[in-house]
Amino acid sequence: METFTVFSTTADVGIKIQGEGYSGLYQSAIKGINLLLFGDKAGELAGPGSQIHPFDFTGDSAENVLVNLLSEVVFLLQSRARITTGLDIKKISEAYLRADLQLCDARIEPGMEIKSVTYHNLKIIGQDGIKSAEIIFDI
Amino acid sequence: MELKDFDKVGDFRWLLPRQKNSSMKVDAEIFATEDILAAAVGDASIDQVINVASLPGILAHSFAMPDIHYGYGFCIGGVAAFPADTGIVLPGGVGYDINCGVRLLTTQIELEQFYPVREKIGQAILGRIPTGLTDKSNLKLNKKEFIDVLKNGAEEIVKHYCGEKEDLQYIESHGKLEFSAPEIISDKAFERGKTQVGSLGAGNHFIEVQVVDEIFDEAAARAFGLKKGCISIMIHTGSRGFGHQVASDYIERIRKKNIARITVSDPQLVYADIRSPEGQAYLQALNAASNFAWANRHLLMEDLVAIFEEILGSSRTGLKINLVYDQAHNIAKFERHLIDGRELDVLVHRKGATRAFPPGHHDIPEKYRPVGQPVIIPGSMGTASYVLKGTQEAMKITLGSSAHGAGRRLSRHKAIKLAADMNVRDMLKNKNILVFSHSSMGLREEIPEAYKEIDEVIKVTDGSGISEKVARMLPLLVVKG
Repeated sequence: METFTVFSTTADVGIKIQGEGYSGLYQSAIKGINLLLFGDKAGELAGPGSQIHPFDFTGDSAENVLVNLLSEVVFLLQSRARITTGLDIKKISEAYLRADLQLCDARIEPGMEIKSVTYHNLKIIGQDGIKSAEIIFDI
Repeated sequence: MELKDFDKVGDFRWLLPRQKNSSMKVDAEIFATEDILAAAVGDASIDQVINVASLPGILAHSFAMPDIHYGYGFCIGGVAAFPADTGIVLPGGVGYDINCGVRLLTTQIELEQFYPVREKIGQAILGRIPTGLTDKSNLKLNKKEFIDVLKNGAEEIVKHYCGEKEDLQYIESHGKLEFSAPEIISDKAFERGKTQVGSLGAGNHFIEVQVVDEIFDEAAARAFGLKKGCISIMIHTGSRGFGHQVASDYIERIRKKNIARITVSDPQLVYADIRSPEGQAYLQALNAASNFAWANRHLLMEDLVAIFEEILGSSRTGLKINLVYDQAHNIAKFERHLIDGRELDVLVHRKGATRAFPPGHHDIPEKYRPVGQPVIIPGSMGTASYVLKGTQEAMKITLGSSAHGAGRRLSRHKAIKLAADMNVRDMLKNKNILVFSHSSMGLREEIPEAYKEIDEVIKVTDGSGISEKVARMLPLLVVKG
């Protein structure tokens, strides 16, 4: 049920993501950011990685959690050359996420540089159990 | 909003009175042609100017320069000031790439000297200067050395690595703002930034070798060292991953502390009181990132000088390579301005806007005080760039501010689509411009059609009096990340 597409604004790019509950939404976000970064090669990345990176975050909202999750993904790629291939969720609520990020070495070069994850126009919408959002990145 | 809501109050000056929107505390003032204003209404960047006008304590107007386009929080080209003692500070009023800016060098290298080595210089720059998506600097710093760079900016590079002390006076704020609290920088920011001091980056960052094509103001050109027919060199980059991480960290920190103050209209406009612990910490972190950017551009300059010296077989002195100026276009600084008849200490936020201080101002190099501060406005890849000078009019009407570039018109996706059938390198070669880049996609994103016409932006800055034309440069060689 997870879906993710890429869109662009005048200066930057974003992803439209959708999933069942927050869990599905965050899974979709990981796949979406990889689609943005790696394009056609993103499909090669899905699945369990060879390394684990714990993520434990208490936020003020789901939007806050989402931005911090994707910021961690950007940090790991930029600073440690690690690609996040999957998300193993341990505990989740509206403003909390504990999960293991599954990582692999950056064996594929990204096609763009995502510098930051923004809150710009970010609003998670829920309908019939499906959560959706548009998130914009500074590139 | 529609065009008819704006009052034309001067040449290229449009006012949106605060009465047009009940949330506005001050008027919004846009510097634009009618076409630029219409585009700004269309892409909703005017809404961002209105959001800024609605912030507590804002002074004067919420300004937008003629390169206005949609951003996060502030629009690109946005300028706003708040009282230095009781006002607020916003990371969204600076941008993620803290102290992204431009540095301009002038030379006495003539075209006939440059053409035979142009290809070689381009290859050398691309080969030796870290560029692109995963670039790491040639300078390996340990944590203490990196902290010293964050504390001392360009001065640290001159003192311990390379460069001339004489150059520091031609950098805004002498390339150093006060920073003495490394504990307020996150481990992530250290990790992201430590390997990137002395790297260009990607996207719209570039190194460009140009020829001075036309002089509009002989006296100012002479003061700046610009000579028609001679080569100039421009560097556009900022604080790299370090600045981005700092900005992200402090948006989170200020947000956490001030959750009730996130404006419903835009969470990117989260703000802190300047005097609060978060506000003071952000301002310190901003200074650290600004110092990083100045150190970064200084190292890149020295790398370029070394390449020119080696390939042309002459020293910097022999080639008369001189730093004209280095200016920031994403920054917040404490300044003194006359507002509503009172001299006030304020915190001026400029996001995609530059300082444009007038003749006589104490904060510009002594050599330039007779003419005014250089204002460097690069065009898009393949088009002209300009040097202008700051004016008293800018101090009077824009808090001493001016435009910073051409401003994007098309999204990257639309640009790539438009350029799908173009051979961008050949297209530029036909215009006598050699382009060097690791990324063909990056070139397509940056085609000139993706940007506003630089001449239209210059027409507004010069026509409104906020900066006056001094010289135009045409590109000969572009290196993109």
